[in-house]
Amino acid sequence: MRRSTTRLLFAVAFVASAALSVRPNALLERGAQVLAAPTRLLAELCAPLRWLRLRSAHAAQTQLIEREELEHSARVELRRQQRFAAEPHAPHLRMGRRFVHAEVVDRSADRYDTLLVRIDGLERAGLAPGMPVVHGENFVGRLLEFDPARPGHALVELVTARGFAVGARLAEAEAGGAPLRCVVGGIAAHSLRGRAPRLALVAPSARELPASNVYVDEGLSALAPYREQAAGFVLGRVEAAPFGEYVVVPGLDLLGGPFRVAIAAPEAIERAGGLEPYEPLSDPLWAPARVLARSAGAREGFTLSVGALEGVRRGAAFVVGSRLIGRVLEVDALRCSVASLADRGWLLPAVALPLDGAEGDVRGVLIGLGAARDDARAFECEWRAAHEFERAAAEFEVQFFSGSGAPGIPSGLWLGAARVTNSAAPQRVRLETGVDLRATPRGFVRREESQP
Amino acid sequence: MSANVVLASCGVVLWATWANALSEELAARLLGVWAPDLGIVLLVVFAARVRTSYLPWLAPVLALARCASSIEPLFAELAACLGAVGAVRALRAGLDLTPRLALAAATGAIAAGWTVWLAWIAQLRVDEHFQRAALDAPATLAGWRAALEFAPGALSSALAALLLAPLVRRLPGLSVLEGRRPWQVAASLR
Repeated sequence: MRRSTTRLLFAVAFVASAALSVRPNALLERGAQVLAAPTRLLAELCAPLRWLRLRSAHAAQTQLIEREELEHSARVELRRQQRFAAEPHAPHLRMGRRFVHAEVVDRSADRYDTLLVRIDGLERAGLAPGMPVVHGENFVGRLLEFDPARPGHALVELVTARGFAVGARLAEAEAGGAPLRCVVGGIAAHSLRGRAPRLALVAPSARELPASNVYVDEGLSALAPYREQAAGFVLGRVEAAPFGEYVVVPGLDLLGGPFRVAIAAPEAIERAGGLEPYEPLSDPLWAPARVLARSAGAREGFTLSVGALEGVRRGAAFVVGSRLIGRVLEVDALRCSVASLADRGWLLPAVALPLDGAEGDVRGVLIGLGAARDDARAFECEWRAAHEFERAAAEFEVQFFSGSGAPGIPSGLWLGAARVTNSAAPQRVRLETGVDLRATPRGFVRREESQP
Repeated sequence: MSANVVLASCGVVLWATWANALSEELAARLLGVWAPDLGIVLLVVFAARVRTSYLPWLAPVLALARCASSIEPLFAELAACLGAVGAVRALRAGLDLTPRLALAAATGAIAAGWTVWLAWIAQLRVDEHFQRAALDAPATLAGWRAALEFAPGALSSALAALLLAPLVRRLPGLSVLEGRRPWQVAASLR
């Protein structure tokens, strides 16, 4: 080949690969991953270097096993608190109803106002589309349909969905004693200007509305099949909008949560009692994986011995026991690369639970900022809480767990402990993991759910 | 391409894989951000000596080795390898890279550029991810910050090139690919 042709090809290859780095193309990336699959063999050739770290790997494994029971108990406690918070406790909201728990596992990719939930016991018996879905005393939406592809999974339409409407009544009545009524549903246009979303309020029964709580009341609608089960749940609080209209400030953060909901069904439904919540850590959808190589420095992560052939997909969790170690970045046929929690730029819905055993968790988002400089067992994060803790202390210790809604990552996986301030403003926290996660020698990777 | 060259290319992949993995071990266990990138050291030292006709093959061969242990995007690593080999090619056309000091300076500059490039790509992907999630991304990986933060790595890579260049040149199996002519003769032909 002539030298000028070689130079041209070299330049084209450089520009093309640089362009594909900046603007990734899924098809070409997949092709390149197929071509790069044999490099798994190269990763295996790093074995002599892995022998150098046998001692630290053994120490990490031992520490992880020692902490396993503690982390599992914390997970059980979190799930208990979340179940408790999902159900209403006021007697008037419990009467004539039976509550079926469900965990939010994903938000629908094409419809953001739809939640995919996993019903306890993976059993839909007794449930039907249209049933109200609640979280504590707050109304969340309605059961839309059951997922035909996944037994025991259903879609929930949130009250924020376009076209959603529910009859409502204000806590305060008119001067004459007649109830103030309206219809609530969808996001109000006023809330689209960088503020927290507000629910649209239409067809009020009076021109002026007081700043009062709004409750579901579909008593006037003969077409609402579950009006008795929905009645009395909180929608939010009325707020005057700038142009003489009214909107509703939701009683619940509907964008970031909730992570667990309860379906309010009639008391007489035919459904077996005591159905346990689904435990993803006990199912067979986990592929045992060995760490072939680790990446330290600019990016923190691992190359693992499992790939697409074993059902591993992008975004899947890499765990040891009940603890999240990292998340799959790229997959080829025979191996995958995992970004560990000490990597930068990851984003995960998370829950913070006070370490002193006090009730009340706080949902939010954790963002990875990289490994701590002075300690291999800690990493830096940004914590964006949805709301403040219901306690007086300004600063306290919490433990963080993965939240719901991240595909491939089960909720309730232990992430670390940190000291946080009681504020909803973004804050930098240092997560202590107690173990040098970089030395982890093996673990399990979540397989795609369609793979048995 | 002769059988000898193919065999030597396998040797390059093997040495580069071990060099990369050793760098990661040094970073994780001993030196942290001061760990040299031995893969880049090997690339620069080797690209400075290899015959010109083999240079275009060197980049994909070394990218393959990096993919074995790196979690960076594949195309980003390939672009970095092509860029580094291209830079060495351009440098050696005008400079004599035989002195170890010149080699160390080239290694340091390439290691810094490499790190900033990968940090920039990582930040682009993070921004895109956060945009999809309708959140503001943390601005921690900006190029100039990465340049400052990863300067120790570039310095230690330069130092490693200074100290290890003679050893890298004598790695078994690589002599087949080396140019035979001294720089003064080769440069006049370029």
